[in-house]
Amino acid sequence: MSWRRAIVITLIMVIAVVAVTIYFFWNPATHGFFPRCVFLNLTGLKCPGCGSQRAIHALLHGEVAAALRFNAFLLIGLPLLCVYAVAEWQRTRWPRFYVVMSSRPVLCVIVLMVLLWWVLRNLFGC
Amino acid sequence: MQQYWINQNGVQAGPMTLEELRNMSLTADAYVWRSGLEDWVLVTDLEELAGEVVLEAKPVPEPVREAEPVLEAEPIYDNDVVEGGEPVEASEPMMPADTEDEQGDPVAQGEPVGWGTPVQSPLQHTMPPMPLESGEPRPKCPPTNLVWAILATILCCIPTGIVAIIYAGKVTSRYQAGDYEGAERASETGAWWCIGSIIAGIVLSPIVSLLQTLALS
Repeated sequence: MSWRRAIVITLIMVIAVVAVTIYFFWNPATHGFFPRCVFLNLTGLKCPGCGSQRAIHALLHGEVAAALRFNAFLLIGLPLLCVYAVAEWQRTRWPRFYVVMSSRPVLCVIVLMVLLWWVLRNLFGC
Repeated sequence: MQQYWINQNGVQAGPMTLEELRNMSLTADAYVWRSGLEDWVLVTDLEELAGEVVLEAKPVPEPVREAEPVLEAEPIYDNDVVEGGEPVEASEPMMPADTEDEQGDPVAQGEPVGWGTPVQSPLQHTMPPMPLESGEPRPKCPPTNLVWAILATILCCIPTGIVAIIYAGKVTSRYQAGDYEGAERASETGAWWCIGSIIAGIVLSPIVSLLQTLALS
């Protein structure tokens, strides 16, 4: 493992631990210091990621139903994120997996899902 | 930029651009290879070259006849080889003079021609190893930054993360088409979209909130 890779991985883990701590102990719904969605503030419409912070706070406290209410897309987004992290991390071991997950059809499906979610949540207020 | 290697009558040349191919006089029995192909294919079989390259009307027998006497005219070398002489000299006539050096040397080294086989088989003669094996190795696929792109999309409240996902798709498709520079560029652009989305999400957020409270009060 190269030095650069080691530093990057350490940095990511530190940030992840700090983030989890913050989102566990403080509720984004009641504390003002969390970043607010720029898109929502400017347009009044929700972006695909709106509610993620509150949803993560709820998830860390085991409240899955509440998390889904804040942002249902995390149900797809977070596992997807884990899959891609593994694909990236084990890229030399499973090169085929990485290639398939980064192929155009798979990415098109993901982009379409995000766009669909973006439109639907604003139409139906979820 | 797509690069092509040409093998005509055992003479290998390349890398060449499509533009250079158009200016070449190729025969229908010339082989062509570019990254993404499993093996050499006939110029006439590569669809993307149809109508692009000008094919000469078959002077095929000529170069073959020319080549054969050369190889047969030097049985002395072959005898030398059998007696344990210099294989280097034996392989000399089989290496066409105008073959590029970088491409030519590995060809001679990769295939131990001239050792046991006094006269090179015609197949070997027309089909040297693929340029990638002899030339530069296939570069590593640049990072797609997909993890960051998705993270930016679902967490940063700036929908520009979607653009980063699209660029990630460009990285892999260009890499598979052999366009390594294009893949590198797409990777870099995608990375900047990720960084931009994440920073904008964090930096713009308090500014916009502040402006809004000011405007409301």
